[in-house]
Amino acid sequence: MASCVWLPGFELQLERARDAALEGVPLALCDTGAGTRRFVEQCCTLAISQGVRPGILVSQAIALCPSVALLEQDPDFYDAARHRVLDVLRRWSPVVEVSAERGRVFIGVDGLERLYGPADRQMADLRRRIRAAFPPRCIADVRLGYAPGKFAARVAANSARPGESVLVTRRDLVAFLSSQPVGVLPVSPRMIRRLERLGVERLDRLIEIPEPALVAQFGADGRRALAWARGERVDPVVPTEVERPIRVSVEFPIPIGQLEMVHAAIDRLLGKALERSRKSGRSVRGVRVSARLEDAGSWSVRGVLRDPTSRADALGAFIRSRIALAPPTRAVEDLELEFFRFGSATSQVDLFAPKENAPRARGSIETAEGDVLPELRRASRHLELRMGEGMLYRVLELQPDSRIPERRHALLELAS
Amino acid sequence: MAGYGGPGGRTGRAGRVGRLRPLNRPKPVHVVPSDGGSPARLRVKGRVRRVESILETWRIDDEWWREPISREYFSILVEGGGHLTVYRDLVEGRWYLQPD
Repeated sequence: MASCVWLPGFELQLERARDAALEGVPLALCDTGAGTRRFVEQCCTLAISQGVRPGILVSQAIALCPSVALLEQDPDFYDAARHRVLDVLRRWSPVVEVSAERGRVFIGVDGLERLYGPADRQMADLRRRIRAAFPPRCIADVRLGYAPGKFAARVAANSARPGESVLVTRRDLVAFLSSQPVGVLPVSPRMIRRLERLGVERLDRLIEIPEPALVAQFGADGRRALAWARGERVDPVVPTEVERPIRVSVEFPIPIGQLEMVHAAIDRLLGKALERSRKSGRSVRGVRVSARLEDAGSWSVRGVLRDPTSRADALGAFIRSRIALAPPTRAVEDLELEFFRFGSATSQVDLFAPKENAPRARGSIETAEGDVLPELRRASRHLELRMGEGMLYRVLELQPDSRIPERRHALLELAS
Repeated sequence: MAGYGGPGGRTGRAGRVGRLRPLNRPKPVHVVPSDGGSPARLRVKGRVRRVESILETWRIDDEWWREPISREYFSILVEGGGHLTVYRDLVEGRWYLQPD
């Protein structure tokens, strides 16, 4: 069983809790982009009722609703509040998954009945704990869903009224899902539009369609959608790994407004932070740069690299590209660099990672061609003795840009 | 090129160079084409599967100056939801399965 905690418009509620003057005012948050074309990223129901929508231009929002209060985002403030929510949830259950969807968290609740009692008491206890950690204004809208698997829990939370919970048992699952619109399916908006055009508006209509017909139309998405609609697919909650971030910061004697100086400071911070990540034998995947801005407010950019690295130039270029998209809007008073995601400790790449005997200056995962760690060489020898041939290979780039797929890479036997 | 330090703090030797093995080498596959020349059915692991839809097609013509390579690729979705890439060798007229 899974539970879904949904905090719709959490950032807007935080802003209202911080400034009482915003109570009853249509509210919208601007995006973090630079330039004159700024867009609305989030808006409250009051603003929506007057025509404001996420994604429209700020100028359009003002034209539609002249009384709208447009706020710059304060990422540090929001992040701190999000971490507080996660702390509360992690103290309640060891299985907490942060969803990619804003304001949504899944919790694994299997086995918790011994601690907190049946489902309804569990939800009441969870709500009480969240309420105790936040001002009532912030979490008045929190909705909880409790159902078998993440999909059903998400749908249950979506169908709950503000401040309430919806519980779905295994027995009621199919009946509960069948009355839902197809829009609840976590598939592409294009597929939803096509289903609606075909007259399939609810899940009870979807489950009447034969599987081959859905697969022919929508491929693997069609099969997944059918399994969700029938209540056959139950996705477990996968706890999000909590990694200890590496943070380094610098404070400026006077606020700086030139981007070149910001970049120079980031390069210095990168050197320091990478030294620490090398000591712990980790490469970096997720990086965030944040700053306090002159005259209050904060700014941040973050991103996750496709491949982990411990090279300062690669990370520097990545950060520059992010800052180019969303530079600080005012002069910065300080800068903080954070590595929040690292190269996985269980991936094959780590087999090649230098460990206790490696010189630290070598970086944590890049190994030169032909270098084989002693541990790996021993493992290869054991495999060769047992299986009759070497079973460990390194993927070698031959012609990575070749149009002929089989010429791009080859396997090089790691000979013992 | 220096290797990583071995046990006892000595410099480890680089492993001797092993053999190269091709990766993603195409395998011959039995394909029944449709009238238009695109794959209609194919035999995968001993089972005949119907092609549900063709997601993408493209063509590669290369190395005309030595042994010409001319392939017509099809990214297909087969019965049961599997996603495969096959191509027809336009020089020899045979079909191959291209591992991703």
